[in-house]
Amino acid sequence: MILESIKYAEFKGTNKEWSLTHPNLGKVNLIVGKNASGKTRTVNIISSLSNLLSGKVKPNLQSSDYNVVFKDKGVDIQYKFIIAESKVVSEELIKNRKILLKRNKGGKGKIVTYPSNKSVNFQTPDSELTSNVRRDSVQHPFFEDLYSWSSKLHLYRFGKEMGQDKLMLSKQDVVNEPKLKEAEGVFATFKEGKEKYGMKFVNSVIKDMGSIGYNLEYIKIDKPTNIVANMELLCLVIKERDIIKPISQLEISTGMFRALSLIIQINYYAFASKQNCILIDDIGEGLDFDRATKLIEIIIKKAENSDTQLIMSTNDRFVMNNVPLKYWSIIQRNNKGSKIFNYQNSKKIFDEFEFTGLNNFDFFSKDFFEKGFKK
Amino acid sequence: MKKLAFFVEGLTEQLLVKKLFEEVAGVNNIVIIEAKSAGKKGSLIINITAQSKKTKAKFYVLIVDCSRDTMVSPNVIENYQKMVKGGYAKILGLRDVFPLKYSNIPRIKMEMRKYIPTNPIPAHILLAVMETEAWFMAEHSHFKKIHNTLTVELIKKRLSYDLLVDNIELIENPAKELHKIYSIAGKAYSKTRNRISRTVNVLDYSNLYLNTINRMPHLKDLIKHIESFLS
Repeated sequence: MILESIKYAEFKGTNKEWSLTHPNLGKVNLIVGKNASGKTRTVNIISSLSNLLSGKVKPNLQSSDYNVVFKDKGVDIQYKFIIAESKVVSEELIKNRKILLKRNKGGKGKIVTYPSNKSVNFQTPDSELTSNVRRDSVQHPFFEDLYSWSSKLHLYRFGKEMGQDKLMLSKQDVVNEPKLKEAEGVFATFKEGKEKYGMKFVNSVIKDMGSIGYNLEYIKIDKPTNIVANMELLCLVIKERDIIKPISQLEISTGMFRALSLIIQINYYAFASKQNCILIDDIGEGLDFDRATKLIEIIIKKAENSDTQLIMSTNDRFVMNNVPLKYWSIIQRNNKGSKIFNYQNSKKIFDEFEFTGLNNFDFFSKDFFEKGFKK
Repeated sequence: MKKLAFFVEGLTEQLLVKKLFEEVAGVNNIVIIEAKSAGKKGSLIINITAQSKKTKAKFYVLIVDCSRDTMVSPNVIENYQKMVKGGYAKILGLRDVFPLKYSNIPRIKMEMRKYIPTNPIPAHILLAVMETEAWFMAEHSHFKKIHNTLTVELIKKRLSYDLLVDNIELIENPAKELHKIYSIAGKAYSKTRNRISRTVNVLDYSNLYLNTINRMPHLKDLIKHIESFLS
């Protein structure tokens, strides 16, 4: 199941209003935009949706209006809800044009119940989303689609540590308690990947690191080389081919660790053949031009060849130049929010740009995406 | 010394353009600098990869490999003022049409022109239709030097096109076709320096200059610009 579109608004009709419009998404997406245009906010909105649907967070929001469409094997699943002052004031789920859930203020509404396939009255506390509190794979199996999507969304902020500062107590059972959801779980992901898929997994990570110019002899889990502690700690340890000594994750350069962390996790999803949604904010940040380019090529290729939906954001000129325009979503700020221009809603302009002979960054910097040849 | 900057799509164009200048001007009359645009600043930094040391040459040509088709125009635009200050008399660009369509050519020419500065020095972006390798195919006498069994007749028999008659500009992906032709004799063509050089070095430049250009109007256009600069 992939997220096909996400319309979002908050504080409608007030001077705090912000909305995201025209937000169609594809399988691979690069959200580009100037500073403060709403790139990271868009990433956060998708991540928040996942947190709300998984029940990880309660709808404690002043104002939030989601209207999202998922696509699952050709079937549209539309889910809409409005939250005001931490209360769910409306919620609707439509699958294949059939209304499965509809409720309004006070938490009262109608829900389709299986196996009778009848719509029955119900009431749940308006402090919760029905999709969380009435989750029941027998009576309301349609909520499982939403839960499943939310539990397979992974957010990486490439400009942050990506798990470099997280070590593991050697006695901790990382297999039973993997933190696969966030970048911080890179250690657990590597351990689980190696245990489940063996050296094929490890070698694939080494190969991908080699493709971006980091030639590793091995990656393993070992004690950190430079920490004295009264407990036994474990971390990732790598050995580069042209360097005599192995180094532990705290000593690896920031850019290299970010790449390693992402490659480990992307490989894990590829090996697990799981349908995932991967969000990467500020892709390439901290890497040099060549490595950022190659890393993005690898990630896109792996996403294209798997069930993964990839949503990345950047404002880096060289990342933009190396990601084909067909994957772009240009986000533009206006007085009430952000509007997205992409191949789905501006096909003619995107196609015409090829005739100019200019590079992708020019498409963005010269506002061609908005004005086309009229300029 | 008269100076020209030539921004080309890739290594194939760089090696061919270098050879064409040497053939037309004579090796001793021209200094050719091979460079590659690269680095974090992408189209702005030029790394010189090869330089000749002829001090009495009349002409100086900087040929910059831009690494991709969509970097040719941006390189011309972004380096234009630098070239003006550097005393260059002319700027040229060369890129393939592929993967765009043959029918798009008039539109490509029209739109590209809009963005290229031309004052105070002339600048033109030239097209290799559909790819530079089409010119290698059109200079079909070179196939025998790749392998003595590679005749036009054999190619026609195996691949169903006649290099003597057909319009080679219409071949959508000539690099791929060139490889197919070489493969008939167990050879290969790919975009590596060795393989491109092997082809560029066996082309018959007299034939290319006297005959091939009459069938390949965009090659003729390139030669005219080279001649005009060297005149």
